[in-house]
Amino acid sequence: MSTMKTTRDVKGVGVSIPRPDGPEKVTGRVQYVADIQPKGLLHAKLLRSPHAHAKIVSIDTSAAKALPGVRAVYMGTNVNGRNLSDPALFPVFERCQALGLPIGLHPFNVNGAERLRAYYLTNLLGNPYDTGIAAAHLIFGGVLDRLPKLQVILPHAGGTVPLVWGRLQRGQKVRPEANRAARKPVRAYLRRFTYDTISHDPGALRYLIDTVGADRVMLGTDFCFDMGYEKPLDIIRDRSVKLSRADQAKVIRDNAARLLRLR
Amino acid sequence: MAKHVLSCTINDQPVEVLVQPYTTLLDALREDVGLTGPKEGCGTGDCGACTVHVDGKVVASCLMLAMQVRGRKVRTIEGLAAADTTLHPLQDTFVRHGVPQCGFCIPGVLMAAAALLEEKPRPSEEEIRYGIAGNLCRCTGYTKMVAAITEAAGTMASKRSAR
Repeated sequence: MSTMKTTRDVKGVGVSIPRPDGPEKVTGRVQYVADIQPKGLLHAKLLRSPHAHAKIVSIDTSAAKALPGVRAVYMGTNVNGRNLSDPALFPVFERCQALGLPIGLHPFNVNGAERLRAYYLTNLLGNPYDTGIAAAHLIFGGVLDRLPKLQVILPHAGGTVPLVWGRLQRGQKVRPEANRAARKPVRAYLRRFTYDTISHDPGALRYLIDTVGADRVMLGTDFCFDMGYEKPLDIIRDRSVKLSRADQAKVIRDNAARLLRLR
Repeated sequence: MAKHVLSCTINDQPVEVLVQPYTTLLDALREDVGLTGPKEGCGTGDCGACTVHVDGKVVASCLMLAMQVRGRKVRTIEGLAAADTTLHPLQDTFVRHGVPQCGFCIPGVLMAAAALLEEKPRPSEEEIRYGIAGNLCRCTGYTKMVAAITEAAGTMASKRSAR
């Protein structure tokens, strides 16, 4: 038994190994997620009304605009149940156009939530539905006609918009209710929006790009939510989406950089 | 609300930044000065991860307003090592004893321990445990902390007597 090895002869066993990250942890140099400030990182700030139950008559964004680096405005697909064609909201859109700030929409307080309680459908279905309602109101309500330079970003690959636009356009043609303020056929407004890539279906992303163009689709992550992508680039590079290198670059970087003036 | 000019000394460097009157010292250090060593664990003074020195005294920087350090001397974990980047004896023993696990509490623990050794160069184990009682470690690595602080106290004492 004299040939038996003791623990000391086996490499690494019975020996204290210094942690490689020890020095950076005792000097405060190690970066935790909250410590990371990558170049070009943008932040969001909420603007709340200082008056309860008040109507928006005007909105003074000059202080915000005067801050260096304000790039975009984030807004709900409805405002406490008010649709985006509501005249009360027009000053907000008007101001955003005047300042050249794109509006990123996101569903909240979604329509029909009563019947969507089960199966997480308020999110799974309610979100894309509400985005569709918001886009229809911006089109049919004439908001996009009155503000020809307003840029609007639709989440979740546009929700229902890319699939139902034909139906909206048919309605516009045959139903007087749907043909009030909008001056052009619905199809003409599709490229007024920019759409993110959160479709969770490469086929749907391909269809979206065919419908609105590769210059109108931008990388989405839904970062930190379980409904987001763990690897947001995968769907863009998915073979079945058949995106050229140039179009991939647009979707991954260039379109957002142009919209948010990140050059 | 108008921002105020905060002039103070941070890690031996004169610093001037514009801060809101309601900005905490922790936020000013992390956001405005760019020193992310002090951490926000709780934001309510319970965890000690934000511990820094103000005029040599231990403070929870999340509970102090930035403007309260006007004209005073602040030291953070980034300023604990010598100017030539030689590790403080505490940093050295913390590395050798493998004290940091996740490491999030370590900047606060080290600042608390450094202030303790300034005040009591040869603390008893009880005094060490009391000295870092305001610092929570969720990896529960307290035993190694006590050993590392004890050893650092010895090193610093023998350096002093050699002088």
